[in-house]
Amino acid sequence: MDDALANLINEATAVYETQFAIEGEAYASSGYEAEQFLEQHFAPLIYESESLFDALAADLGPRDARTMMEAEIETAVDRHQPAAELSPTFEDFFGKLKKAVKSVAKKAVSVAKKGISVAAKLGLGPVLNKLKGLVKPLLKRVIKTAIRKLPRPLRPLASKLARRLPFLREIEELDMESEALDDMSEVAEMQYEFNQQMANLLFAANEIEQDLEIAEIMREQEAPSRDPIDDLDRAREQFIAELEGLQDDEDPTPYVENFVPAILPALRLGIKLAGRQRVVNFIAGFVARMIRRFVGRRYARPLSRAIVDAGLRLISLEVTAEDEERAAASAVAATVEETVRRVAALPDYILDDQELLEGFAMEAFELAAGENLPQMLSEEVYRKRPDLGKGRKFRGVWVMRPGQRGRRNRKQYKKYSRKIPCRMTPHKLRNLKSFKGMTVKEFLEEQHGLEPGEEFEAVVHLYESMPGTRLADIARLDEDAPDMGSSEADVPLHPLSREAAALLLDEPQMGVESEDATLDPHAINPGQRFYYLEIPGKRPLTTPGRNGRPKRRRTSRSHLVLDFPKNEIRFYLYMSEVAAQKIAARLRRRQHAGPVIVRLRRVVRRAVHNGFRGTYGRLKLIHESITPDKRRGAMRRMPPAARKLYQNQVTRWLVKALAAHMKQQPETFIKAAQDTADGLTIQVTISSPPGFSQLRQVLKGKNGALAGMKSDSTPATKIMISAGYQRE
Amino acid sequence: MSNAETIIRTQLARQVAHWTSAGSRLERLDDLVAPAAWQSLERYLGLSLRKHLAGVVAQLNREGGSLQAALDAARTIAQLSAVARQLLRFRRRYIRVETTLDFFADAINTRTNPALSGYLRACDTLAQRSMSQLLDQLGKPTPPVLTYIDKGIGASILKAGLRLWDATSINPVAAIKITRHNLYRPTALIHEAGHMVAHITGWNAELAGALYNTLAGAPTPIANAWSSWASEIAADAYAFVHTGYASVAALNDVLSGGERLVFRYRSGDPHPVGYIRLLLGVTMCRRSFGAGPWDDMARVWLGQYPLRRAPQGTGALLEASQPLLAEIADMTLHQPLQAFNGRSLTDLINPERVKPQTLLALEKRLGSALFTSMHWIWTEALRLLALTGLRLATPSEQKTETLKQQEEWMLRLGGAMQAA
Repeated sequence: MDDALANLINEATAVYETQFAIEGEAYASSGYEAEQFLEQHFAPLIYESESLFDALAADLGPRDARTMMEAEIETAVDRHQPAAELSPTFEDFFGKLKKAVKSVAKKAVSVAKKGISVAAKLGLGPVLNKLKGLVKPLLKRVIKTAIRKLPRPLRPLASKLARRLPFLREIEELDMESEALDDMSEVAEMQYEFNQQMANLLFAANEIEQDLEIAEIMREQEAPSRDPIDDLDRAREQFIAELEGLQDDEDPTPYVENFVPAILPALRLGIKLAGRQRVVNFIAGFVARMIRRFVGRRYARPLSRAIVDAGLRLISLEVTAEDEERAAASAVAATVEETVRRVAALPDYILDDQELLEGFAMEAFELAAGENLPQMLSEEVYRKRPDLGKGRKFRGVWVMRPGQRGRRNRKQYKKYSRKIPCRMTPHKLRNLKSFKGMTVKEFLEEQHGLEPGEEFEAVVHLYESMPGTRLADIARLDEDAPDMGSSEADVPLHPLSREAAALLLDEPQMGVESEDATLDPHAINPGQRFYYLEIPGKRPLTTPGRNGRPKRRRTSRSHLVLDFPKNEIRFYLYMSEVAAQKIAARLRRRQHAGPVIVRLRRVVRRAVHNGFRGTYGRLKLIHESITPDKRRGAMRRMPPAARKLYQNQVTRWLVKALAAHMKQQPETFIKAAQDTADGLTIQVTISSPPGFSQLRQVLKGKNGALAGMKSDSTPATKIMISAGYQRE
Repeated sequence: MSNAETIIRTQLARQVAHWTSAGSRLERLDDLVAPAAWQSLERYLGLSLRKHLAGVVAQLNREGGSLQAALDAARTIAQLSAVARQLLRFRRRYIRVETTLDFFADAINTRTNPALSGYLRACDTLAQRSMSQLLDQLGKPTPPVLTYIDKGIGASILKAGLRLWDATSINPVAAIKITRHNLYRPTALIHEAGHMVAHITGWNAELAGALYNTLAGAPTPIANAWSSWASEIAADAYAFVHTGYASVAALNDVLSGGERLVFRYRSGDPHPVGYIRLLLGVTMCRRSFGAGPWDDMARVWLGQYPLRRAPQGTGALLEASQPLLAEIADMTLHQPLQAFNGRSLTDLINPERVKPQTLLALEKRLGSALFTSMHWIWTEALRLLALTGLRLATPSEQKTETLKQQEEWMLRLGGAMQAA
């Protein structure tokens, strides 16, 4: 449901910005009205979703859950169609909801048969009625996320469920490093919380417990919440205005002291710093001292001019004279913010030692100033300290966007003032990594119809995230790159790692290294960098959308499901239209299947590798003691040799199965490729994989089971090829 | 200020207020084009047009501002007279800007429903693709295309890069009119795109000279006539290399409007006489593909329009031209030109790709996926146009099915047909 939720959020954000985010109007005055408006916007979806539960409760409720068959549930859900036509985004969500309802209802039947849940006594009716109550809170959360009035942080995960299901406690006993939530995007959190709520309802012992669960969810939704990002935005605007008003030699300290505390809550690591008043006071005083040479009329004017010279106007046609006047104050505010962010990320032992803190704070300020202020130091300084002159040859500057005068007031991201031309060669493209384990070459082949081996001139747009940045916001708001714009979940932005910066710009220092930068495009931290390749003459490939508007084509992706309770591995390989047609054309010629298998093997090997690494969206782990938030950690804790061994084994099984299928039944692939749907999905199910039970134990931390994981035998497999995108 | 000045000022002030406020109202582009129609354009095209039109209106309103300032500052009769002249200029500018806006508003507003929007978006893509295939090789940028639908027999183009009615702004898009009858067989669209390409590359002038030189041995009036038809010959040849026989068959249907039309010759008209124009298309087919269904078409054409029925002078011109057709076709298709960086038209766009046998082999190789897969529809859009045009032009019992297929793949290309 991740993509469907991301699309709903993007749509709601776009609606909100069009209707409410007008010039100078902060959330405080428009928030309530916006929420009401968006609730109206979502009303048809809420109505249809609730109707689905009502219809199913009426249909399946009177039946004895203990004797119900899965096929009956499938039929009942499939039979239900929305009464009115829904928008494409709503329809997408509704489809995903139907899928979720199917799996929950089946699970409810399964636990009822074991006599665990309330469904055993009362049938599916009460469960479905209670599940209905979850839809509105979920969509409310979508609305609040869209208008950035975020709900309070997620309650402790799985706590209630763990009380009810003792085997989940094993996870706590393992003393796992806590990675979980910090790595989860808001969409993943939302999805996870929804699943959690469904599970709590499902396993509730009686109706009273179910009612309590619903009551708690509703209370959480109503709880007043502050948006740290909104607070920061207002504090920043105020700080900029104060800096603009500063007289020569006036002390900026009081203003910095006001601003710094507003930065901390918007940073994930800022909370740690907020508790150390001594450090906060030091930082405020230190930063105030450092910025004195950039504020006050005497310094601000030349600084603004330098920023304009560094290409401020090139960034967008939207840049106004007022933006130019504010440029200096805005750049200083960005420098302060970045300094604080860098200090907040320092480890405790540095924060606790005044001498060390001063040294590192100085470095943080220098680096932040190097990024946000135009180059004003002497050549000699840059020669001695190349880290201060990153990307100096481009003579640009990072600028907070969108501008002040736009309808969208809030600063959402930073953009580098210069767009950099770059000759793209196959070598560069192969080595540039995008999100979700994809290379930029594959992305461009599938989204822009780039021919393999093609060389072309591109223009590189550079972006940096700020607190609260979402990639979809950059795509939507940067009108200087109109082809990027979309409200879809896949946006054509790629992480600007050091390697990418070296390849594209010949300036590795312009990149930002982040361990997870290539994993989850929905979990963005401040300070990460991204790039968009504008390719003159090439526009994104599209496929017809439901509303008669073209939509961007889906890129190839894979999904590996390790389902321990069912003792099977399910592998979904979605092949983009481009990839599928290339293979279908070969199969149609009835040539030797070898080249097709070689191609598939490459894809499968990487897909399985990504799955076993726990790459975002590539793995689903159904394991009694691993909740989704612990999934990536669990995979990473496996001894690397064991992980590689099992990974290779799974790859072997999959490739063998696919090779046999392509030789014996190529027509199934060709038929799916002929369908008008965008791309096709190959689903391989491996039943009772050898060594799977040992893997199950290893994932619980019981490394003693490692020995039994290796096997030379080949398990039974089943292959299904269907048109379009399928996954569970 | 004297009484006379006050009276003149009052009259002028009212008119200035009227026209400047009318100018301000033009800023509301959504009043001219419904938001849904804006959205029916591809985003880059919509943005580019909006930006352009907003710029045109902003320029007008700046002039309105200066008119108002001039009025405020005028103190004497002479100064007020100058303001009156400035007002007249402003009125003229207003009307021109309005004409520019109305043209684009009318064009965009022809996208009245999702299906029609889909067709027209497909037409935008086809025209643009045909241009970029050639212009990319010359390192020249391809302008965006806005296709709109209108009544009539023939298509037309308002070329990008030309000055618009407002007299100051340059047209940012190639606006191509496609006629209703040809909507499902839009090879005329490619012909119009050919005019755009010729404009960008300077092909017309060079081809006119080359035609004249090629026909140097013929009587001067013949060389002159062919040379003056260069722009239309270029566009026909361009449509031919992109869509093969389909373009010639479609041309036949447009030209075959009775003897008067077929033999009409007007000095200065860039269109060759219909009679010989079609035969030139047939000759291009023969020279590029050998024998084929175009031979039958020519036979019927010659039988339907015997040359003896042509007006006397025209008949002589046409008769003398017939033996020259092979030479004209070869020169047009194969002669290297400076406009093409020393290459010929067929070096840039190889008509072999749209030869009937090649098209049928493509269909055989890709099966029905050619018409259903967005990958093939996108990458082979122009050849699909050529293939379906070929099928419609050759004897077949599946014309209805072919038309339906054409309709469907175009709707898919335009994003208006949902996957099954």
